Amino acid sequence: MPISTEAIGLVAVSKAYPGVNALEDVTFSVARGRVHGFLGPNGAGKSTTMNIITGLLRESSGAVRLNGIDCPTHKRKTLIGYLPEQPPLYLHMKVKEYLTFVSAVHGMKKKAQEDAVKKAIEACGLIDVQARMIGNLSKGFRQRVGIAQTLVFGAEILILDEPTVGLDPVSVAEIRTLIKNLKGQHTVLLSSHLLHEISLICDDITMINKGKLVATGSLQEIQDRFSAGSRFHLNANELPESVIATLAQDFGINVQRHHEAWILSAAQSQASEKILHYLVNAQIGVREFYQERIELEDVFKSAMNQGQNL
Amino acid sequence: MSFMSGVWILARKELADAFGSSLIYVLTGLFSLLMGWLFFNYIVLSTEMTSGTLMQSVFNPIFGNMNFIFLFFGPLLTMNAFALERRQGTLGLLLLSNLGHLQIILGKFLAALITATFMLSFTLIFPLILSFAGYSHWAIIFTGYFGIIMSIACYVAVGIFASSLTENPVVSAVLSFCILLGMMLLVLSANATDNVLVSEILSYVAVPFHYEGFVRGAMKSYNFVYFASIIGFFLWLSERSLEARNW
Repeated sequence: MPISTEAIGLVAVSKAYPGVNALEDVTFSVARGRVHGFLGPNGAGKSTTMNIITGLLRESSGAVRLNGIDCPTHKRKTLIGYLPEQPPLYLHMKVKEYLTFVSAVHGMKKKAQEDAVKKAIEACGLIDVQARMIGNLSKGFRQRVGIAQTLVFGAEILILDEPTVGLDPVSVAEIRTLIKNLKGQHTVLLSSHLLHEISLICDDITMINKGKLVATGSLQEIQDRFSAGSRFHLNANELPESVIATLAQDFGINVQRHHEAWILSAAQSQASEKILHYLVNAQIGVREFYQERIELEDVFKSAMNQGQNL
Repeated sequence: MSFMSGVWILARKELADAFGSSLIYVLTGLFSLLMGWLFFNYIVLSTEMTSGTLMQSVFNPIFGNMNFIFLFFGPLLTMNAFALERRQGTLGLLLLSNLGHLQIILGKFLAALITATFMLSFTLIFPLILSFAGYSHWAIIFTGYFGIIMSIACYVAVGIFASSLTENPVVSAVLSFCILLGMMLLVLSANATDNVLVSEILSYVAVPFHYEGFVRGAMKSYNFVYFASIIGFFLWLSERSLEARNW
Protein backbone atom coordinates (compact mmCIF):
# COMPACT_ATOMS: atom_id res chain seq x y z
CA MET A 1 0.00 0.00 0.00
CA PRO A 2 1.47 3.39 -0.95
CA ILE A 3 2.37 5.67 1.94
CA SER A 4 0.00 8.61 2.13
CA THR A 5 1.46 12.08 1.74
CA GLU A 6 -1.12 13.34 4.19
CA ALA A 7 -0.14 12.99 7.85
CA ILE A 8 -3.20 14.67 9.39
CA GLY A 9 -6.52 15.27 7.69
CA LEU A 10 -9.61 16.86 9.18
CA VAL A 11 -12.82 16.42 7.24
CA ALA A 12 -15.73 18.67 8.23
CA VAL A 13 -14.90 18.34 11.91
CA SER A 14 -17.35 20.02 14.28
CA LYS A 15 -17.44 20.19 18.04
CA ALA A 16 -20.54 21.41 19.82
CA TYR A 17 -21.02 22.07 23.51
CA PRO A 18 -24.47 22.90 24.84
CA GLY A 19 -25.28 26.28 23.33
CA VAL A 20 -21.84 26.76 21.78
CA ASN A 21 -20.30 25.59 18.53
CA ALA A 22 -16.60 25.41 19.32
CA LEU A 23 -15.74 24.15 15.82
CA GLU A 24 -17.78 24.21 12.65
CA ASP A 25 -16.93 22.09 9.62
CA VAL A 26 -13.19 22.52 9.89
CA THR A 27 -11.39 20.86 7.00
CA PHE A 28 -7.68 20.98 6.36
CA SER A 29 -4.77 18.64 5.95
CA VAL A 30 -1.16 18.56 7.02
CA ALA A 31 1.37 17.10 4.62
CA ARG A 32 3.78 14.46 5.84
CA GLY A 33 7.18 15.70 6.95
CA ARG A 34 6.16 19.37 6.97
CA VAL A 35 5.88 21.92 9.75
CA HIS A 36 2.35 23.27 9.67
CA GLY A 37 1.44 26.45 11.51
CA PHE A 38 -1.95 26.71 13.18
CA LEU A 39 -3.06 30.28 13.76
CA GLY A 40 -6.02 31.96 15.33
CA PRO A 41 -6.82 34.48 18.05
CA ASN A 42 -7.54 33.38 21.60
CA GLY A 43 -10.70 31.29 21.78
CA ALA A 44 -10.61 30.54 18.06
CA GLY A 45 -10.70 26.78 18.69
CA LYS A 46 -7.03 25.89 18.17
CA SER A 47 -6.65 23.85 21.36
CA THR A 48 -10.04 22.19 20.80
CA THR A 49 -8.91 21.17 17.31
CA MET A 50 -5.62 19.85 18.64
CA ASN A 51 -7.34 17.93 21.42
CA ILE A 52 -9.68 16.38 18.86
CA ILE A 53 -6.78 15.34 16.63
CA THR A 54 -5.01 13.67 19.56
CA GLY A 55 -8.19 11.93 20.71
CA LEU A 56 -8.42 13.71 24.06
CA LEU A 57 -11.74 15.16 22.88
CA ARG A 58 -14.32 13.55 20.65
CA GLU A 59 -15.58 15.40 17.61
CA SER A 60 -19.35 15.89 17.39
CA SER A 61 -19.23 15.18 13.67
CA GLY A 62 -16.71 14.82 10.88
CA ALA A 63 -13.67 12.61 10.64
CA VAL A 64 -9.98 12.73 11.48
CA ARG A 65 -7.54 10.91 9.22
CA LEU A 66 -4.03 10.04 10.26
CA ASN A 67 -1.58 8.95 7.55
CA GLY A 68 -4.46 8.94 5.11
CA ILE A 69 -6.66 6.53 7.08
CA ASP A 70 -9.80 7.32 9.07
CA CYS A 71 -8.69 6.96 12.65
CA PRO A 72 -11.05 6.36 15.57
CA THR A 73 -10.37 8.32 18.77
CA HIS A 74 -8.72 5.54 20.76
CA LYS A 75 -6.21 4.75 17.99
CA ARG A 76 -4.99 8.31 17.47
CA LYS A 77 -3.07 8.52 20.72
CA THR A 78 -0.55 5.89 19.67
CA LEU A 79 0.43 7.83 16.55
CA ILE A 80 0.72 11.31 18.00
CA GLY A 81 3.11 13.03 20.37
CA TYR A 82 1.31 15.94 22.00
CA LEU A 83 2.71 18.91 23.85
CA PRO A 84 -0.16 20.97 25.26
CA GLU A 85 0.21 24.62 26.22
CA GLN A 86 1.01 23.58 29.78
CA PRO A 87 3.74 20.93 29.38
CA PRO A 88 2.66 17.68 31.11
CA LEU A 89 5.63 17.41 33.46
CA TYR A 90 6.09 15.76 36.85
CA LEU A 91 8.24 18.44 38.43
CA HIS A 92 9.64 16.20 41.17
CA MET A 93 11.00 13.68 38.66
CA LYS A 94 14.42 13.78 37.07
CA VAL A 95 14.54 14.33 33.30
CA LYS A 96 15.77 10.84 32.43
CA GLU A 97 13.44 9.20 34.94
CA TYR A 98 10.48 11.12 33.51
CA LEU A 99 11.25 10.21 29.91
CA THR A 100 11.73 6.57 30.92
CA PHE A 101 8.31 6.65 32.59
CA VAL A 102 6.70 8.18 29.48
CA SER A 103 8.24 5.51 27.25
CA ALA A 104 7.12 2.80 29.69
CA VAL A 105 3.48 3.93 29.75
CA HIS A 106 3.58 3.90 25.96
CA GLY A 107 4.36 0.21 26.14
CA MET A 108 8.04 0.22 25.15
CA LYS A 109 10.23 -2.66 26.24
CA LYS A 110 13.04 -1.97 28.70
CA LYS A 111 15.90 -2.13 26.17
CA ALA A 112 13.99 -0.01 23.65
CA GLN A 113 13.21 2.48 26.43
CA GLU A 114 16.91 3.09 27.11
CA ASP A 115 17.68 3.74 23.44
CA ALA A 116 14.62 5.92 22.92
CA VAL A 117 15.32 8.01 26.02
CA LYS A 118 18.93 8.48 24.97
CA LYS A 119 17.89 9.60 21.49
CA ALA A 120 15.23 12.01 22.79
CA ILE A 121 17.69 13.50 25.29
CA GLU A 122 20.24 14.05 22.55
CA ALA A 123 17.72 15.42 20.04
CA CYS A 124 16.42 17.96 22.54
CA GLY A 125 19.80 19.00 23.94
CA LEU A 126 19.09 17.69 27.42
CA ILE A 127 22.32 15.76 28.00
CA ASP A 128 23.63 18.17 30.62
CA VAL A 129 20.40 18.25 32.61
CA GLN A 130 19.24 14.63 32.31
CA ALA A 131 20.03 13.90 35.96
CA ARG A 132 18.37 17.07 37.26
CA MET A 133 14.92 17.43 38.70
CA ILE A 134 12.49 18.96 36.19
CA GLY A 135 11.18 21.43 38.77
CA ASN A 136 14.67 22.94 39.07
CA LEU A 137 15.04 23.56 35.33
CA SER A 138 14.47 26.86 33.53
CA LYS A 139 11.26 27.29 31.56
CA GLY A 140 13.15 26.81 28.29
CA PHE A 141 14.57 23.48 29.41
CA ARG A 142 11.17 22.38 30.74
CA GLN A 143 9.73 23.07 27.30
CA ARG A 144 12.49 20.97 25.77
CA VAL A 145 11.61 18.14 28.15
CA GLY A 146 7.99 18.60 27.02
CA ILE A 147 9.08 18.20 23.38
CA ALA A 148 11.29 15.23 24.32
CA GLN A 149 8.25 13.44 25.80
CA THR A 150 6.51 13.75 22.42
CA LEU A 151 9.50 12.15 20.69
CA VAL A 152 10.46 9.46 23.14
CA PHE A 153 7.94 6.81 22.11
CA GLY A 154 8.57 7.23 18.41
CA ALA A 155 5.48 9.18 17.30
CA GLU A 156 5.80 10.42 13.75
CA ILE A 157 3.21 13.17 14.17
CA LEU A 158 3.91 15.89 16.72
CA ILE A 159 1.36 18.43 17.87
CA LEU A 160 2.83 21.37 19.72
CA ASP A 161 0.47 23.90 21.29
CA GLU A 162 2.27 27.22 21.66
CA PRO A 163 5.66 25.72 22.53
CA THR A 164 7.43 29.07 22.74
CA VAL A 165 4.91 30.98 24.84
CA GLY A 166 6.44 32.75 27.83
CA LEU A 167 10.04 31.98 26.87
CA ASP A 168 12.90 34.47 26.66
CA PRO A 169 14.27 35.28 23.17
CA VAL A 170 17.26 32.93 23.53
CA SER A 171 15.03 30.01 24.53
CA VAL A 172 12.61 30.85 21.71
CA ALA A 173 15.47 30.68 19.20
CA GLU A 174 16.61 27.34 20.67
CA ILE A 175 13.14 25.82 20.54
CA ARG A 176 12.76 27.14 16.98
CA THR A 177 15.98 25.40 15.94
CA LEU A 178 14.84 22.24 17.68
CA ILE A 179 11.53 22.23 15.78
CA LYS A 180 13.29 22.96 12.49
CA ASN A 181 15.51 19.95 13.11
CA LEU A 182 12.41 17.77 13.47
CA LYS A 183 11.25 18.65 9.96
CA GLY A 184 11.43 15.74 7.54
CA GLN A 185 11.56 13.01 10.15
CA HIS A 186 8.38 14.20 11.81
CA THR A 187 5.23 16.01 10.81
CA VAL A 188 4.68 18.94 13.14
CA LEU A 189 1.44 20.82 13.71
CA LEU A 190 2.39 23.93 15.61
CA SER A 191 0.14 26.58 17.08
CA SER A 192 1.62 29.88 18.10
CA HIS A 193 0.68 33.48 18.74
CA LEU A 194 4.11 34.56 17.54
CA LEU A 195 3.37 35.11 13.88
CA HIS A 196 6.96 35.93 13.11
CA GLU A 197 7.82 32.57 14.62
CA ILE A 198 5.36 30.80 12.35
CA SER A 199 6.75 32.54 9.28
CA LEU A 200 10.27 31.39 10.20
CA ILE A 201 9.46 27.76 10.98
CA CYS A 202 6.40 26.71 9.02
CA ASP A 203 5.96 25.58 5.43
CA ASP A 204 2.17 25.72 5.49
CA ILE A 205 -0.39 27.42 7.69
CA THR A 206 -4.02 27.09 8.64
CA MET A 207 -5.97 29.94 10.15
CA ILE A 208 -9.16 29.59 12.13
CA ASN A 209 -11.37 32.13 13.82
CA LYS A 210 -14.44 31.57 15.99
CA GLY A 211 -14.31 27.87 15.26
CA LYS A 212 -14.38 28.31 11.48
CA LEU A 213 -11.65 27.76 8.97
CA VAL A 214 -10.42 31.04 7.49
CA ALA A 215 -7.63 29.84 5.24
CA THR A 216 -5.28 26.96 4.70
CA GLY A 217 -2.37 26.50 2.33
CA SER A 218 1.29 27.25 1.88
CA LEU A 219 2.66 30.37 3.52
CA GLN A 220 3.15 32.01 0.13
CA GLU A 221 -0.39 31.20 -1.02
CA ILE A 222 -1.87 32.68 2.13
CA GLN A 223 0.30 35.77 1.86
CA ASP A 224 -0.69 36.29 -1.75
CA ARG A 225 -4.35 35.76 -0.95
CA PHE A 226 -4.60 38.06 2.02
CA SER A 227 -1.88 40.64 1.42
CA ALA A 228 -3.49 44.01 0.78
CA GLY A 229 -1.61 45.16 -2.36
CA SER A 230 2.12 45.79 -2.70
CA ARG A 231 4.54 48.22 -1.09
CA PHE A 232 7.86 49.30 -2.63
CA HIS A 233 10.75 51.24 -1.21
CA LEU A 234 12.40 53.70 -3.59
CA ASN A 235 15.56 55.70 -3.05
CA ALA A 236 16.34 58.00 -5.99
CA ASN A 237 17.91 61.39 -6.78
CA GLU A 238 14.54 62.95 -7.43
CA LEU A 239 10.92 62.04 -8.08
CA PRO A 240 9.25 64.62 -10.32
CA GLU A 241 5.52 65.31 -10.19
CA SER A 242 5.12 63.91 -13.71
CA VAL A 243 6.54 60.53 -12.62
CA ILE A 244 4.27 60.49 -9.53
CA ALA A 245 1.28 61.23 -11.76
CA THR A 246 2.21 58.45 -14.20
CA LEU A 247 2.70 55.98 -11.35
CA ALA A 248 -0.77 56.84 -10.06
CA GLN A 249 -2.40 56.71 -13.47
CA ASP A 250 -0.72 53.70 -15.08
CA PHE A 251 0.09 51.56 -12.05
CA GLY A 252 -2.43 52.72 -9.46
CA ILE A 253 0.42 53.60 -7.12
CA ASN A 254 0.24 56.15 -4.35
CA VAL A 255 3.58 57.81 -3.46
CA GLN A 256 4.55 59.03 0.00
CA ARG A 257 7.76 60.71 1.09
CA HIS A 258 9.51 58.72 3.83
CA HIS A 259 12.68 60.43 5.16
CA GLU A 260 15.15 60.43 2.26
CA ALA A 261 13.16 57.88 0.26
CA TRP A 262 9.67 57.24 -1.08
CA ILE A 263 7.13 54.56 -0.29
CA LEU A 264 5.14 53.38 -3.29
CA SER A 265 1.86 51.68 -2.29
CA ALA A 266 -0.48 49.87 -4.65
CA ALA A 267 -3.94 48.61 -3.73
CA GLN A 268 -3.52 45.70 -6.12
CA SER A 269 -0.56 43.37 -6.38
CA GLN A 270 1.94 44.82 -8.89
CA ALA A 271 4.91 43.29 -10.67
CA SER A 272 8.05 44.98 -9.36
CA GLU A 273 9.92 44.47 -12.67
CA LYS A 274 7.48 46.65 -14.61
CA ILE A 275 7.63 49.49 -12.10
CA LEU A 276 11.41 49.34 -11.91
CA HIS A 277 11.62 49.34 -15.70
CA TYR A 278 9.49 52.48 -15.86
CA LEU A 279 11.49 54.26 -13.13
CA VAL A 280 14.82 53.51 -14.80
CA ASN A 281 13.49 54.74 -18.15
CA ALA A 282 12.26 57.90 -16.43
CA GLN A 283 15.92 58.61 -15.51
CA ILE A 284 15.32 59.64 -11.94
CA GLY A 285 18.60 58.17 -10.70
CA VAL A 286 17.34 55.07 -8.92
CA ARG A 287 19.78 54.10 -6.13
CA GLU A 288 17.66 51.56 -4.33
CA PHE A 289 14.38 49.84 -5.15
CA TYR A 290 12.86 46.84 -3.42
CA GLN A 291 9.49 45.35 -2.61
CA GLU A 292 8.74 45.42 1.08
CA ARG A 293 8.14 42.00 2.60
CA ILE A 294 4.58 41.63 3.78
CA GLU A 295 4.60 40.59 7.41
CA LEU A 296 2.50 37.67 8.50
CA GLU A 297 0.94 39.98 11.09
CA ASP A 298 -0.65 42.00 8.27
CA VAL A 299 -1.81 38.85 6.52
CA PHE A 300 -3.22 37.51 9.78
CA LYS A 301 -5.13 40.73 10.49
CA SER A 302 -6.47 40.81 6.97
CA ALA A 303 -7.46 37.14 7.11
CA MET A 304 -9.14 37.56 10.48
CA ASN A 305 -11.08 40.58 9.21
CA GLN A 306 -12.26 38.54 6.26
CA GLY A 307 -12.92 35.63 8.60
CA GLN A 308 -15.26 37.83 10.66
CA ASN A 309 -17.44 38.12 7.60
CA LEU A 310 -17.60 34.40 6.92
CA MET B 1 2.52 -4.58 27.76
CA SER B 2 0.19 -6.81 29.73
CA PHE B 3 -2.74 -5.34 31.64
CA MET B 4 -1.17 -5.79 35.08
CA SER B 5 2.30 -4.62 34.03
CA GLY B 6 0.65 -1.38 32.85
CA VAL B 7 -1.08 -1.06 36.22
CA TRP B 8 2.18 -1.71 38.04
CA ILE B 9 4.17 0.86 35.99
CA LEU B 10 1.82 3.58 37.18
CA ALA B 11 1.50 2.19 40.71
CA ARG B 12 5.28 2.16 41.07
CA LYS B 13 5.50 5.80 39.99
CA GLU B 14 2.68 6.73 42.39
CA LEU B 15 4.43 4.92 45.25
CA ALA B 16 7.67 6.76 44.46
CA ASP B 17 5.69 10.03 44.53
CA ALA B 18 4.00 9.13 47.81
CA PHE B 19 7.17 8.06 49.59
CA GLY B 20 9.06 11.02 48.17
CA SER B 21 6.61 13.40 49.82
CA SER B 22 6.57 14.40 53.48
CA LEU B 23 2.79 13.89 53.71
CA ILE B 24 3.03 10.11 54.09
CA TYR B 25 5.59 10.37 56.91
CA VAL B 26 3.59 13.03 58.75
CA LEU B 27 0.40 10.96 58.45
CA THR B 28 2.19 7.75 59.46
CA GLY B 29 3.77 9.44 62.47
CA LEU B 30 0.46 10.94 63.54
CA PHE B 31 -1.40 7.68 63.02
CA SER B 32 1.19 5.64 64.95
CA LEU B 33 1.19 8.17 67.78
CA LEU B 34 -2.60 8.09 68.06
CA MET B 35 -2.80 4.31 67.86
CA GLY B 36 0.03 3.84 70.36
CA TRP B 37 -1.68 6.16 72.81
CA LEU B 38 -5.00 4.35 72.39
CA PHE B 39 -3.32 0.95 72.71
CA PHE B 40 -1.70 2.01 75.97
CA ASN B 41 -5.06 3.25 77.32
CA TYR B 42 -6.89 0.07 76.35
CA ILE B 43 -4.19 -2.08 77.95
CA VAL B 44 -4.40 -0.08 81.17
CA LEU B 45 -8.19 -0.30 81.19
CA SER B 46 -8.16 -3.93 80.08
CA THR B 47 -10.57 -6.24 81.87
CA GLU B 48 -8.44 -9.26 81.04
CA MET B 49 -8.03 -9.94 84.72
CA THR B 50 -11.80 -9.94 85.25
CA SER B 51 -14.20 -11.10 82.57
CA GLY B 52 -13.33 -10.06 78.98
CA THR B 53 -10.59 -11.26 76.66
CA LEU B 54 -7.74 -9.18 75.22
CA MET B 55 -9.53 -9.38 71.89
CA GLN B 56 -12.66 -7.78 73.35
CA SER B 57 -10.99 -5.21 75.54
CA VAL B 58 -7.98 -4.22 73.40
CA PHE B 59 -8.07 -5.32 69.78
CA ASN B 60 -11.74 -4.78 69.00
CA PRO B 61 -11.62 -1.10 70.03
CA ILE B 62 -8.16 -0.70 68.43
CA PHE B 63 -9.44 -2.00 65.09
CA GLY B 64 -12.55 0.18 65.45
CA ASN B 65 -10.38 3.24 65.99
CA MET B 66 -8.11 2.37 63.09
CA ASN B 67 -11.15 2.16 60.86
CA PHE B 68 -12.46 5.49 62.14
CA ILE B 69 -9.11 7.27 61.75
CA PHE B 70 -8.79 6.06 58.17
CA LEU B 71 -12.09 7.74 57.50
CA PHE B 72 -10.03 10.95 57.70
CA PHE B 73 -6.68 9.66 56.41
CA GLY B 74 -8.13 7.80 53.41
CA PRO B 75 -9.29 11.02 51.71
CA LEU B 76 -5.92 12.64 52.49
CA LEU B 77 -4.05 9.76 50.84
CA THR B 78 -6.15 9.89 47.69
CA MET B 79 -6.90 13.60 47.32
CA ASN B 80 -4.04 14.12 44.85
CA ALA B 81 -4.72 11.00 42.78
CA PHE B 82 -6.40 12.75 39.85
CA ALA B 83 -6.84 16.29 41.19
CA LEU B 84 -3.11 16.99 41.03
CA GLU B 85 -2.79 15.34 37.62
CA ARG B 86 -5.47 17.68 36.33
CA ARG B 87 -3.91 20.71 37.98
CA GLN B 88 -0.41 20.08 36.64
CA GLY B 89 -1.71 19.07 33.20
CA THR B 90 -0.34 15.52 33.33
CA LEU B 91 -3.68 13.72 33.16
CA GLY B 92 -3.63 14.16 29.36
CA LEU B 93 -0.21 12.47 29.29
CA LEU B 94 -1.66 9.39 31.00
CA LEU B 95 -4.84 9.40 28.94
CA LEU B 96 -2.82 9.58 25.72
CA SER B 97 -0.51 6.76 26.78
CA ASN B 98 -1.06 3.07 26.08
CA LEU B 99 -2.66 2.70 29.50
CA GLY B 100 -6.42 2.28 29.46
CA HIS B 101 -8.65 4.19 31.89
CA LEU B 102 -9.04 1.12 34.06
CA GLN B 103 -5.28 0.57 34.24
CA ILE B 104 -4.76 4.18 35.28
CA ILE B 105 -7.44 3.93 37.98
CA LEU B 106 -6.20 0.58 39.26
CA GLY B 107 -2.61 1.83 39.31
CA LYS B 108 -3.60 4.74 41.52
CA PHE B 109 -5.88 2.55 43.64
CA LEU B 110 -3.15 -0.04 44.21
CA ALA B 111 -0.55 2.59 45.12
CA ALA B 112 -2.89 4.29 47.63
CA LEU B 113 -3.80 0.92 49.17
CA ILE B 114 -0.14 -0.06 49.54
CA THR B 115 0.60 3.32 51.10
CA ALA B 116 -2.26 2.87 53.59
CA THR B 117 -1.05 -0.65 54.38
CA PHE B 118 2.41 0.78 55.05
CA MET B 119 0.85 3.16 57.61
CA LEU B 120 -1.07 0.30 59.13
CA SER B 121 1.99 -1.97 59.33
CA PHE B 122 3.44 -0.04 62.27
CA THR B 123 0.51 -1.17 64.44
CA LEU B 124 1.65 -4.79 64.08
CA ILE B 125 3.87 -4.04 67.02
CA PHE B 126 0.78 -4.19 69.30
CA PRO B 127 0.06 -7.92 68.92
CA LEU B 128 3.82 -8.50 68.92
CA ILE B 129 4.11 -6.82 72.32
CA LEU B 130 1.20 -8.83 73.68
CA SER B 131 2.66 -12.07 72.31
CA PHE B 132 5.50 -11.65 74.78
CA ALA B 133 2.83 -11.81 77.50
CA GLY B 134 1.44 -15.00 76.02
CA TYR B 135 -1.17 -13.74 73.52
CA SER B 136 -1.43 -16.20 70.65
CA HIS B 137 -4.76 -15.75 68.81
CA TRP B 138 -3.04 -14.88 65.54
CA ALA B 139 -5.91 -15.99 63.31
CA ILE B 140 -8.21 -13.32 64.74
CA ILE B 141 -5.47 -10.71 64.42
CA PHE B 142 -5.07 -11.76 60.78
CA THR B 143 -8.80 -11.50 60.00
CA GLY B 144 -8.97 -8.18 61.86
CA TYR B 145 -6.20 -6.68 59.73
CA PHE B 146 -7.73 -8.22 56.62
CA GLY B 147 -11.07 -6.57 57.45
CA ILE B 148 -9.39 -3.22 58.07
CA ILE B 149 -7.54 -3.44 54.76
CA MET B 150 -10.78 -4.27 52.95
CA SER B 151 -12.44 -1.34 54.67
CA ILE B 152 -9.56 0.98 53.74
CA ALA B 153 -9.76 -0.29 50.15
CA CYS B 154 -13.36 0.99 50.09
CA TYR B 155 -12.24 4.37 51.43
CA VAL B 156 -9.47 4.53 48.81
CA ALA B 157 -11.93 3.69 46.02
CA VAL B 158 -14.25 6.49 47.20
CA GLY B 159 -11.27 8.87 47.46
CA ILE B 160 -10.09 8.02 43.93
CA PHE B 161 -13.58 8.73 42.62
CA ALA B 162 -13.82 12.08 44.46
CA SER B 163 -10.38 13.04 43.14
CA SER B 164 -11.46 12.31 39.57
CA LEU B 165 -14.19 14.93 39.85
CA THR B 166 -12.14 18.01 40.64
CA GLU B 167 -8.74 19.59 40.20
CA ASN B 168 -8.70 20.89 43.76
CA PRO B 169 -7.23 18.34 46.23
CA VAL B 170 -8.98 20.00 49.20
CA VAL B 171 -12.37 19.74 47.51
CA SER B 172 -11.55 16.11 46.68
CA ALA B 173 -10.67 15.30 50.32
CA VAL B 174 -13.80 17.00 51.67
CA LEU B 175 -16.02 15.30 49.12
CA SER B 176 -14.69 11.81 49.79
CA PHE B 177 -14.88 12.39 53.56
CA CYS B 178 -18.55 13.41 53.20
CA ILE B 179 -19.34 10.29 51.14
CA LEU B 180 -17.56 8.02 53.64
CA LEU B 181 -19.15 9.68 56.66
CA GLY B 182 -22.54 9.34 54.97
CA MET B 183 -21.90 5.63 54.42
CA MET B 184 -20.89 5.24 58.05
CA LEU B 185 -23.82 7.18 59.45
CA LEU B 186 -26.26 4.91 57.65
CA VAL B 187 -25.97 2.79 60.79
CA LEU B 188 -27.74 5.55 62.73
CA SER B 189 -30.61 5.57 60.25
CA ALA B 190 -30.75 1.79 60.43
CA ASN B 191 -31.12 2.00 64.20
CA ALA B 192 -33.70 4.77 63.97
CA THR B 193 -36.17 3.03 61.68
CA ASP B 194 -38.90 0.66 62.87
CA ASN B 195 -39.04 -1.11 59.51
CA VAL B 196 -36.92 -4.25 59.84
CA LEU B 197 -36.30 -4.62 56.12
CA VAL B 198 -35.16 -0.99 55.72
CA SER B 199 -33.02 -1.33 58.81
CA GLU B 200 -31.35 -4.46 57.41
CA ILE B 201 -30.74 -2.83 54.05
CA LEU B 202 -29.24 0.30 55.59
CA SER B 203 -27.06 -1.78 57.90
CA TYR B 204 -25.86 -3.82 54.96
CA VAL B 205 -24.86 -0.72 53.00
CA ALA B 206 -22.81 0.69 55.92
CA VAL B 207 -19.11 -0.26 56.04
CA PRO B 208 -18.84 -1.00 59.83
CA PHE B 209 -21.48 -3.75 59.61
CA HIS B 210 -19.12 -5.73 57.38
CA TYR B 211 -15.69 -5.12 58.82
CA GLU B 212 -16.94 -5.90 62.36
CA GLY B 213 -17.36 -9.55 61.38
CA PHE B 214 -13.73 -9.73 60.31
CA VAL B 215 -12.61 -8.26 63.63
CA ARG B 216 -14.50 -11.02 65.47
CA GLY B 217 -12.80 -13.59 63.28
CA ALA B 218 -15.93 -14.27 61.21
CA MET B 219 -15.28 -13.92 57.47
CA LYS B 220 -18.56 -14.33 55.61
CA SER B 221 -19.04 -14.49 51.87
CA TYR B 222 -21.52 -11.59 51.80
CA ASN B 223 -18.88 -9.40 53.44
CA PHE B 224 -16.57 -10.10 50.53
CA VAL B 225 -19.39 -9.46 48.07
CA TYR B 226 -20.10 -6.13 49.78
CA PHE B 227 -16.46 -4.94 49.76
CA ALA B 228 -15.94 -6.07 46.17
CA SER B 229 -19.18 -4.31 45.14
CA ILE B 230 -18.34 -1.01 46.83
CA ILE B 231 -14.78 -0.98 45.48
CA GLY B 232 -15.97 -1.98 42.01
CA PHE B 233 -18.78 0.57 42.01
CA PHE B 234 -16.60 3.54 42.92
CA LEU B 235 -13.80 2.51 40.56
CA TRP B 236 -16.43 2.20 37.82
CA LEU B 237 -17.68 5.70 38.69
CA SER B 238 -14.08 6.94 38.44
CA GLU B 239 -13.81 5.36 35.01
CA ARG B 240 -17.04 7.10 33.94
CA SER B 241 -15.67 10.37 35.28
CA LEU B 242 -12.48 10.03 33.20
CA GLU B 243 -14.48 9.01 30.16
CA ALA B 244 -16.68 12.10 30.54
CA ARG B 245 -13.60 14.26 29.86
CA ASN B 246 -13.70 13.17 26.22
CA TRP B 247 -17.07 14.75 25.72
